[in-house]
Amino acid sequence: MNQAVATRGALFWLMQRVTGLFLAAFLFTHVKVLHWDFNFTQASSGFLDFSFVISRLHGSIGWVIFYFLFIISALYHGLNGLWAIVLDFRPSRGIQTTWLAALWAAGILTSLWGLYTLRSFYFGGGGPA
Amino acid sequence: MNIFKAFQGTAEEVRLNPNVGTFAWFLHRITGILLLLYLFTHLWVLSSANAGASAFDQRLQMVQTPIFHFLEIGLILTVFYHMCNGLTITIMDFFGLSRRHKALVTVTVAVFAVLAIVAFGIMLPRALHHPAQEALHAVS
Repeated sequence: MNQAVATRGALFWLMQRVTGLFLAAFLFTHVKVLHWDFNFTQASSGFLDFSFVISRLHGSIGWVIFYFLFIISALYHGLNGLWAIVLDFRPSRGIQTTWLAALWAAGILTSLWGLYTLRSFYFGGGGPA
Repeated sequence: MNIFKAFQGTAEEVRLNPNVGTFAWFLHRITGILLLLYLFTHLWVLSSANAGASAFDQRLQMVQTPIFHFLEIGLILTVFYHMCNGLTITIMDFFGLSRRHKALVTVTVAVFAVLAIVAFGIMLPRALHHPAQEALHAVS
């Protein structure tokens, strides 16, 4: 293995640890603001719905940044974890390349999809009101 | 890549190395895959907001039934296991404690057990008595 590949592997390993720690913090915050606060202050109003989510996210660029970082951290951590599992199967070089391309594509497309959804919350809902 | 060979390999690994670390590693992978699948499902549910508020409410109501509230307990236990074991791996890596992994797995399981009991205590009553579901039944 050449030095560049070894360094890249170490970077991915470190990123997996760092995103994991981020995810723990993000998750507790997310559960607090969108689930705990609903269940224990407003549950009697009925189902968790759009108006409740909007009361947190509408027009708040801070929450949009928070959730976008959450989404890309989760995707990186999950897809990189899956990549580690793929490598354990000792696939051929060609199959490795195919997997890598598919994982990157899934990660990028889903990030954009997440960002598009966040935009809907930021602006108070897409489509007909 | 032969999936059967992989399972055979995993079974062989467990047979040759049947200590707690092997089971912790295996569970970490299984819970990781489940959480990745959940992430995509969660984003799919939330993306209904792109079609408007009523589409979002409709889809969100679909996943606020008693069965889904029970599944949520399973989800939180999956998250807690993956989180506890992940933190243990990080601590082992950063502080060079891999020689003490058996003791650390015991601590992980103990912390997970406490979190699981707390989660059950909070979530089970809600799964059994969801206020909105009960209101819906009262109307119908």
